[in-house]
Amino acid sequence: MDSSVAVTEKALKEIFAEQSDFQTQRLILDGAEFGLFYFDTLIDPYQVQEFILKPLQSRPHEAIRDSITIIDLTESTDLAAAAQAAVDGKTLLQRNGESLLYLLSADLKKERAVNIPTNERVLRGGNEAFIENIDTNLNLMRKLITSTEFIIKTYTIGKLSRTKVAVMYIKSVAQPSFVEELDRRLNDIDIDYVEAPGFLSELIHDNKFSLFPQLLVTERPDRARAYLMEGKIVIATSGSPDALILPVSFWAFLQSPEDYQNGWLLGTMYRLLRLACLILAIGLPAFYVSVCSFNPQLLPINFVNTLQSSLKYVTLPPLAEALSMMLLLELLKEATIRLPSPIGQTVGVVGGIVIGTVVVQSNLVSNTMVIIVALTAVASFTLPSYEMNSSIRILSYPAVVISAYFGLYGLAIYFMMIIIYLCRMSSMGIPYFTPPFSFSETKDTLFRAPIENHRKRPAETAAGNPTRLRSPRSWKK
Amino acid sequence: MKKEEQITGRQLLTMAIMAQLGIEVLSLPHQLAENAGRDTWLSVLLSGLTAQVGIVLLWWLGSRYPTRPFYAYSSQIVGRPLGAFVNLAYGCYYAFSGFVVTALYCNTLKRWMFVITPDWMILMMLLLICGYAATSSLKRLAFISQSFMLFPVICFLLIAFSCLYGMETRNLLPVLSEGWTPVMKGIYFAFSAYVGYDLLLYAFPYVKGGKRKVLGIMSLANTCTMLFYIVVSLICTTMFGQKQLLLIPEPIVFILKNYKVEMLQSLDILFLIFYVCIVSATIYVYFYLSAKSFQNLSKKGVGKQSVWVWVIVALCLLGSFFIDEQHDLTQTSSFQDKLSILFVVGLPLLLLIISGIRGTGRRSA
Repeated sequence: MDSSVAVTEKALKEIFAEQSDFQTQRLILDGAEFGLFYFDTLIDPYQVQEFILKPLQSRPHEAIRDSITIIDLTESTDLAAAAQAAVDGKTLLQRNGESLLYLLSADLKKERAVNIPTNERVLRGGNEAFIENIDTNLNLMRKLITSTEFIIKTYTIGKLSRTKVAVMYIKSVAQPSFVEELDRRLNDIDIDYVEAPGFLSELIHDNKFSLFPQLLVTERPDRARAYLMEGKIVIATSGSPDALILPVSFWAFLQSPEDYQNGWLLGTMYRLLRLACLILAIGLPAFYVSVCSFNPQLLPINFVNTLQSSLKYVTLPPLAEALSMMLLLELLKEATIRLPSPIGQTVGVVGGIVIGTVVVQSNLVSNTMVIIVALTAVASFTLPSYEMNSSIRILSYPAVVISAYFGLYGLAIYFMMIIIYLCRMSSMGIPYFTPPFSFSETKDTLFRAPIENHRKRPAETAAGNPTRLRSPRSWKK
Repeated sequence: MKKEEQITGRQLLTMAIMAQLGIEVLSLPHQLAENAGRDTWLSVLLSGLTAQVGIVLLWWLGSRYPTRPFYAYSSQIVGRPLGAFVNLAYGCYYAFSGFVVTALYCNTLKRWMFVITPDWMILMMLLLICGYAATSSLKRLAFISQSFMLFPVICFLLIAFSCLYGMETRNLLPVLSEGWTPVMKGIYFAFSAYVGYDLLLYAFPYVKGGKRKVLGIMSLANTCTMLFYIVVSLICTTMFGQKQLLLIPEPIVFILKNYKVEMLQSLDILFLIFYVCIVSATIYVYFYLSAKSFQNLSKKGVGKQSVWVWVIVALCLLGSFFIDEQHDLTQTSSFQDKLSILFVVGLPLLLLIISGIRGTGRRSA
């Protein structure tokens, strides 16, 4: 690194020879010579003028640290590092005769405003959602947890994209072993760019072939906070409005932030409803198919008669009926996501009314099947996690096939297989699915117990510091 | 070999109950009606107490070597070559037991529902699912058993509440009409229903908490099972006459047919199908124990657990082709009853005596 501005300028111009937005300026102010190097697409001209040029002009002979009014000011004697900083958005400043570069942060921040969550709506509770700018997201989190125990560690991942990834946890609660393990996994990632949260979650989760989501994705800062308080770790990535939460268990996918706002009885009721919906979403079409094709004796005779009358003129066998309707539903869902919203509504009408009615009227599919499939779809959408409800819907296809060939016995075996599979899964070394067996285990899984009963944090993730509350409602005495 | 994770007392409780409950619930009252007649419940009770003595026996043996599972210390008691033979025998016994339970359940299912479905199809599905479960670790098996625990509870409630549909308590009288001999004979038949507590042999060192706690938990598990069986036999004896019981192989299923629910016509079919959860909990524990004992043939460990399990599953599937007729199955199952007494009571007792005489274990543990 040379002390002459002219040499530095030449060197930088060589590095950025093909970059047309790289700018260099040499200023001679009251006899002192300065070099200013920056990418004009990255900096904020107003800030540069106001906080760099103006102070320099008025006090050119003072030390740069004293005159420049920018808080993020670092020095570098390494030209390559400085060049990287310029790409990161820094403005480089050199005084002729000093063999170091000042890296000044006056970069242009373009971001959308903090909005209401679009994918995780609740009726009660916070209405802030993460945005694509990681600094804003971290700011939201810092404002929600103003404790010195709240730690944010940043990593840079991606050889080319150099994406900023922030890992958040609460030092006194989170298990140090998880933090270390995550650190190891993140440091091991060697990839040119990361697409968050997809790449990141796939690169750090345990079971490669698992259909079930192993990391919880959220766009809600309050939800992230709730899990941080249980000793879990939250990962935010620059460029993505979603944060990843880990390690989570199966039950986290049945929890909604609203459960904690509505009183524990309602919360419990909705929790149980979601569990019931989960089972329905996997098994209802399969149950129907197996009853139709194998075990009509399971139902009372009147019921069977009704069923028979709706099946009388239907040409397709129950299996084909179920599969085609389920597939149709999936098509409609996929199409409405992709299409712009005005056309999306049209598809909704076409799907719901035209296809639904006509398919039945033309005797391709029975009335009952339409009801069953619609019910299944609605049930699957009650799960708060999009990842989970998609996996659940995928799981219902093999269920239909197996029960078309083996009846209820096949369905029972299939459910057993899912349970065994869940029991065998691990996430960051802790079991993914723990059957709710004792009262303490059901408190926040199957049920949502009153707040005052949540005295312990989950044992798996916060083993070192289990006490959450000591004497709530002590005013009662 | 990988070190086994510890399980909690609750998990042991569930695993033990689930391993004890098996296909016998369905046929127990019928089987015992031939021998113990009206005093079935008494046989079941006494048999449960016998099992309790058996548990104390296994616990005693286990507590002499509190840090290692049975298969690891068996060769310490009787010497290396003989110890390996003991492990081999246990491995075969558990694989065989798993097979018999599978075959019995599939046979029941076939008779009730899948009359024309080929045997091997039903059997294969059950074997595959149990094999899949058996390849996991003890802790994960405990999780699976805990998940399935819901079904025995539902079954118990269904059976217990079926007494609402009228029962004849006078069927129980007179008590001990033919003296103690039939009751004693009944104990032998009922005992096979309690087998499964031998899980303790393997699980002993992996349970959190002290030795006493293990004994307490196993006794509790045995008591729960005993209660289940006593209720079943009481209800069957009171709801059916003795002559009927002799003719009906699965009285429980008939009792459930009694339920009149508006939405479901035949609860018995659902019961029989979801009974697969209870049966499979027994089978995968057997397969797991079998694989573990084969693995322990040498000190360093022979083969992988999963490989052993799939070999056992394949053999069971092959074996199923040789048992076609009802007659074969009954014979096999009565042979298995005898074997289980040998392996669950006889051999451990012998080993305990040898270990006592040679005085091994205490110090080295």
